Amino acid sequence: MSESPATQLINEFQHTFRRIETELAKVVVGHGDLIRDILTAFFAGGHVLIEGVPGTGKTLIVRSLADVLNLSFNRIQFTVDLMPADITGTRMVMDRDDGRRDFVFVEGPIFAHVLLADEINRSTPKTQAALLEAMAEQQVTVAGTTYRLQPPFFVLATLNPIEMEGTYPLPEAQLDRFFFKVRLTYPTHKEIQRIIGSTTTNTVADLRPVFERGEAAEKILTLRQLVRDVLVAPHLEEYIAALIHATIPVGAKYLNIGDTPKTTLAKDDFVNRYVSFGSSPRGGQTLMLGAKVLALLDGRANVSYDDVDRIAVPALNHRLVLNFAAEAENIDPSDIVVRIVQSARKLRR
Amino acid sequence: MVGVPGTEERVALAEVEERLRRVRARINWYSMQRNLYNLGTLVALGIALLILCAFSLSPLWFTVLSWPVLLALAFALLFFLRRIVIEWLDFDLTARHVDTKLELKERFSTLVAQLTAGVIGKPQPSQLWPHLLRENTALLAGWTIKQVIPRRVPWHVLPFLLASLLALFIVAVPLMSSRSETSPFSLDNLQQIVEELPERASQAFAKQMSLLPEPSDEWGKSSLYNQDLQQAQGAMRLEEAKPGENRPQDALSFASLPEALQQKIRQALEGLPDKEPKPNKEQEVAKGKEDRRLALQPSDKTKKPDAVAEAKNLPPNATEQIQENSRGRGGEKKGGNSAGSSSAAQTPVQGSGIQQLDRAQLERKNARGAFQPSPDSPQLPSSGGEAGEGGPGAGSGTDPRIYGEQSVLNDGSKSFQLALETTHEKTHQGEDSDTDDKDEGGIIEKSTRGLNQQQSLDDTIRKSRVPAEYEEIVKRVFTRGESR
Repeated sequence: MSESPATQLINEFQHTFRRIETELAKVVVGHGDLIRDILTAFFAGGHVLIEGVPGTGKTLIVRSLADVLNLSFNRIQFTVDLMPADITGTRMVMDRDDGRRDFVFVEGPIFAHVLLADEINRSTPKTQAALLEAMAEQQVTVAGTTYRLQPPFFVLATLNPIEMEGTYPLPEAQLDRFFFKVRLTYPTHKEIQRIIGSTTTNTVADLRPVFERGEAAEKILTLRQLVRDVLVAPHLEEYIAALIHATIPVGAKYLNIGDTPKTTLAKDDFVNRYVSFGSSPRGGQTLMLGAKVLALLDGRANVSYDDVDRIAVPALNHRLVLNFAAEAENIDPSDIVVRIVQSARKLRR
Repeated sequence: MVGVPGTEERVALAEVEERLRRVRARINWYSMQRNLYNLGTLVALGIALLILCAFSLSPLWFTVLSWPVLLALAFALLFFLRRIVIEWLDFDLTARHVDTKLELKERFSTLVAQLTAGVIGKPQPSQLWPHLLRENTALLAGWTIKQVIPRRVPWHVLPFLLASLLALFIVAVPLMSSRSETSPFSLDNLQQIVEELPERASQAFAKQMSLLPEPSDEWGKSSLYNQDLQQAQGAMRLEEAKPGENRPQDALSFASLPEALQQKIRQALEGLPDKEPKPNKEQEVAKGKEDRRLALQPSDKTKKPDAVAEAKNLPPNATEQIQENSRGRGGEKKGGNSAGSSSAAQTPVQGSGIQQLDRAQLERKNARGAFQPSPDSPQLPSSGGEAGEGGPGAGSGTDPRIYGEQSVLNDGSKSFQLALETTHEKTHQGEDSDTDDKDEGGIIEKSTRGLNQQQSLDDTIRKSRVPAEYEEIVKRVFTRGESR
């Protein structure tokens, strides 16, 4: 029985995804779930914020991903004195062939397919804003001229949770532009053992690109379109909307009082007690697109409840603005999201 | 285009749709059954409870309890009807139910959502749509309707059946117990009931419409003899004259008049004869007195006019008993027996109180020793006196049925009790003690005194003026009687 074109597309997506995972696993020890989340965001067209202690392989993961995808890669080490022009580029006076001088735009490091923004919280908000505009709109504006970024554009930013002195925490609005926020945990005992053994020899892992250099971007864009073609039932949309609405505490500012949704969840006590602001609709978009990627990975042409639940934590945890009580009691946003997802299971019936 | 007719895709869609319809019908039927069975269980239990309460509680408590029960049943009815409406599944919800039950990861519901959204005949909504349809078609062979809804009939039918059986049992127990008794109305005697119906209806109508007594075809007892009985009847009629008994208002008004006035009104307006209460035949048969009474009643059309000849037809033991009774009275009797009561006792009682008194005295003398009241009669010796011992109403000509039909007096216990009270009152009205009544002279003297008192009462009443309202009542009563 011959496969339909749709089935072939899904199989191709699965194959590509797994090949990338396999290649990354050659250099990155462990962190399988993290790599899957990163790839999910990549194929969904989002950007990822990685939070982890130094030396756990953040930069290695991003660099390896660029190599495997055979896409252009740049790295920006964010510091306090980093200026927006250092990211986006600037106009410089250049000599022409005819001897005249003219302003010529010199592209900054942001003009790449894969960008690593290392320790993004160490730069000033002004510089951060320059990056975040590019992330959201896939373009930069310099001296009144707008320059489109070449798709696919993928930003991987890292946060160092320690050494917080002299840092500028990302505003909530800027955090919302990241598709996922994932945490890079410490490797396990065996993973550390493997890391030590594999990185202290002359043997270098041979990463084989999944795509050819010239066709990588096009193929990736095709796969991204395929993700958006995944079918979603109306009740799944209701479910996602209910999840998003459940993150908003009772009595929150700017809450639409007259809203009487058909499907709703009872507000979790944690939400009312510790959350100041819930997720934005962008969180719902994230849930939907991420669930579609997971559906394709599962070989399905439709989204299921499990897909949504699976990505709820990385998609929503950085979108919840906790209050002082939550910080005082060391409440993690992920715990609140998990509670919301658990309470939402009754909506499945 | 999605679902182009004749294509493989359209065939697959038709198959999916057919399966979906069957699943939906089964789920909805199952859900409706479950709610109806639950409702039926509650209704059956409620009915059983109401029946139990009806048999065990007083009307007040039954009313108090039945309202909450009925309200609860009404709420249950609304609740389960609402649940039926809520649980009624459309195609989308049916598909979601299938997905949840069979863990299809929303494949089926997504496909059905696309179908219900109207993708058929339109451009493909997604390049992955064929894959979704193909998956569902492949999965369709892997599951059956029974996997979604295993049972066609929910287990809720069991409590429903149990509750229904309980209710039927509670209903059946009193029915079975009542069926064991002989019912006067049954299919066996339906023909007889139908034949007797007009006659019964006319009798009932006559009873309702009649205030005055019907002409008796039986020879009545002496008014002197039945004075206490008449008073007892009057007392009973007054007691039973309750508003709810559909008695004519005139009868109530007339009965509320003083007894002497009633008697006077009767005599003055119509001169009706004294009507003796019909003897209770059952009591007489039980006591073996009927023959003797018939012998004393020559006016009975069924009997020969000659009382002597009737007496001859009596059974030998009855004749002997009469003779024994006559002898037992000793010398105080004056040789009279039942046969010798003669025509004076058979003359219809009419006229004034004096005339009736004379007849009563003569009748009493003739009947003494031969006529004995039935043991249930209020004139039993145990009541404290001889029959006809000169009650104050003797000879007043009062119709003994003025207070109603003889059937009212058939209750021997009531008659007896009331007669005792009446006799007691009369005794106290007189100044003689019981010991004085034992000899004949004392009895006659007391009777004469009582008659004198009655006569003086009659004279007083005759001279007194009848109130206009009473005249109006009596005229209305007799106008109705004439028209009837």
